[in-house]
Amino acid sequence: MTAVAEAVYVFGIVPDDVAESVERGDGIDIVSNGSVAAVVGSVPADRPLGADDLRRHDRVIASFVDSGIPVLPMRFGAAVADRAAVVSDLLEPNADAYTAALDKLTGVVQFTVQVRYERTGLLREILAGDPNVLSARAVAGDPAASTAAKMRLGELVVAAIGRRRPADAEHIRFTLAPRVRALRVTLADDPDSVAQLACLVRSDRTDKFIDTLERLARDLADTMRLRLLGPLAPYDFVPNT
Amino acid sequence: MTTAVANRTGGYVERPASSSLADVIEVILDKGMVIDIYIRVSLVGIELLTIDARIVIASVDTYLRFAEATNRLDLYEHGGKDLPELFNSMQEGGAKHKTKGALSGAMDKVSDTFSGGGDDDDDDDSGDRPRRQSRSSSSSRSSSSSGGGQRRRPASSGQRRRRSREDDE
Repeated sequence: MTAVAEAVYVFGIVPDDVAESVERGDGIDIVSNGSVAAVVGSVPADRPLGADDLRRHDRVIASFVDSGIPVLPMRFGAAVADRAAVVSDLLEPNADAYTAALDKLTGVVQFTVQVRYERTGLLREILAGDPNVLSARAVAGDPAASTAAKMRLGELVVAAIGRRRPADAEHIRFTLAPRVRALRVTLADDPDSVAQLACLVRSDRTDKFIDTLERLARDLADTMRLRLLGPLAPYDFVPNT
Repeated sequence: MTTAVANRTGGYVERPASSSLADVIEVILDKGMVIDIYIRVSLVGIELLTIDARIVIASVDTYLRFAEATNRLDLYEHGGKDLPELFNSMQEGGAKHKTKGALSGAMDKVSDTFSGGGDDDDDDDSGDRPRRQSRSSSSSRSSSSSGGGQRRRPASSGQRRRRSREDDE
């Protein structure tokens, strides 16, 4: 294939029957095959994509979420050679799968909950519950303590955090489960973080979801901080082959 | 995600009115539908932004930070103001230090209610423009990941870029 200066960037897939109502500004266009439609734009083929492109991807997808239009976001960076290829290579072979996924994801939005530890309260609990940490602290707390002794204390503390993280994440998952249609937990690897939870929530039940989250955050405030992003397109819940 | 939904004030849940670049990277990068192989090879050589996020730094620095925090903790103090302030200032100092290195966003997926494939959360080292690297380049994992004299070793525990700097547009 010969190199061309521009390629067709694919933001996502929307139902064909909303294609007419989509605003086509900002270089955004719709390519349809009669049953499903792709939201496309152009992208230079001779430079790598960067942060601005990621921002744009996010903005375009978010505009559909804000309009209440179901959208299947493509993974950032999806592009094809030309508009004909959008139909022949993307829409035609996948029309049934896309239609089914759009049906399933109509009327729901994703929220992503980021959970971090609140260090002071967390360390209090760890010290109270782990005699080994307590004694390591007694050693490391000496003004003349060696770096090795401090390392030993830090290592024990970080290990203790790692041991409790799954249970902390599970408690949050369990509490949110009745309020969501689907949920994915990703445990953090960073000692200051607990997990990230992607939650698929019915659009007409978001208030209840947020109320539950708020109560949970209040109950956990001594040891954790919750942060809420969304509503988002269902990035974590689209089909992938 | 860029559009604000009404913020709730005074609540326990933090809800940013607009998403920072770090949020966008963490929440949407490497998420979404993947187009199949056939189309990918007709990609006209587009290079993708990749974030070498899976580099885990279990640094000496991490252990020493937690040791210091633990040492300073007053076991008999409950709800005092001085301690949280102490910790906040310490964390800010740590954040400046940490943003120098590329920090781990490696996450372990533990639950997958839907079928969707092996998504990992990627992360960036700081709020600066992410590095541009070709996805096809196998060298993308390790470049420019360690700065500021931090030592790095691949281990199970790591630290991640703290969101001390926002990159809102």
